[in-house]
Amino acid sequence: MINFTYTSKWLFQKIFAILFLIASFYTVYSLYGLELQNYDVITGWFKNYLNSFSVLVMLSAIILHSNIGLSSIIDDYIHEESLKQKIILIKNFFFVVLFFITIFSLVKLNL
Amino acid sequence: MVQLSLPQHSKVSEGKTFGKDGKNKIVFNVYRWNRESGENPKIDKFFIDKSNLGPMVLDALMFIKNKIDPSLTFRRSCREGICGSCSMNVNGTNTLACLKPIIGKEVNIYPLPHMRVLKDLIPDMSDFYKQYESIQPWLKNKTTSKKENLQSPEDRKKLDGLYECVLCACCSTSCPSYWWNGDKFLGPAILLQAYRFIVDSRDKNKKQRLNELKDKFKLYRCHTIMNCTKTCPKNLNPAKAISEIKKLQISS
Repeated sequence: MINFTYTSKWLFQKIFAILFLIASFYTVYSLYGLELQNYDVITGWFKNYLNSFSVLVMLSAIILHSNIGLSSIIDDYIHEESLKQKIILIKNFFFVVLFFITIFSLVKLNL
Repeated sequence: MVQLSLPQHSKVSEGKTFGKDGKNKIVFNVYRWNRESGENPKIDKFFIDKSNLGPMVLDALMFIKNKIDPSLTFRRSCREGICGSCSMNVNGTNTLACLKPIIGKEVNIYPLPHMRVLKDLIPDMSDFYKQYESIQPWLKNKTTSKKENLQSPEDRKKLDGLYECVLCACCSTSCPSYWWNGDKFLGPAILLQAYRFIVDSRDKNKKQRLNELKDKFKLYRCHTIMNCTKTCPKNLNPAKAISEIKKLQISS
């Protein structure tokens, strides 16, 4: 059993990177050969739940991977604890907003 | 916060020149700084005839100290890569001066980067040794038996590539993560030593050692940059040892 320590964060970052790669390969493969300039073709592609799910996995994985990665960069370069906490708060807010935009967009495309 | 520019007193200027350029001469640009002078560091130039020198950079430094400028200060002892004393930055790479051959017409010699300098080529290693002490680099075993603590050849083999480390700090001082967080990140040399005791079959303190390292600064500032492995004068692989510790952290 893994406790939610920095070890698990490190492990999750690797898992999210692999999920992102798998989902992006599937997305590119399934888009291959489609008429990408045609709006109806693209919205039609999103109506397929498997395609929408792969985009959801791809974007969620990259958001979570980047979140952990950015925290690590902030830990590396910002040593003043109060400034660090503020920047991490802004970063987390930004990623939560980005995640909800992703969900909202995908739900809207599927309705 | 990370400082992106050098402090005023760290700016290096041109120093003295010893000898003249000529055929068969090699120029050694050597970092000089004396705390007592109160001046900024300087780069002294030494033009030396190749025929006067031995093959290694340490030979050149000893020639300079013995024949040209006795005030030049550097650490050295075994002159065969065993003691780890003469670690310095030669032509942009951290190495042991005794193992580094003199190549080319110009050789730049600096102390190990991002360390406090005591004088000339001597860095302050006290923090490095404190970090080494923090990992408790000795076998911990509660057995009170007076018999030999035997080890199988297979278990002994696990220490190859680890026990050879001479703690010269070339790897740690080449690591950008250690530059930024040298007070909290243990650095490749110390983590390699930590792994050496974790995998030693005679040590019975593996779990506690791993727990001690379970810290986002002590261990996880390593971002696999691999400068440590590239620069190690003993051809060891501290980056691999660190990744093995990370793997053990998951299973522990």
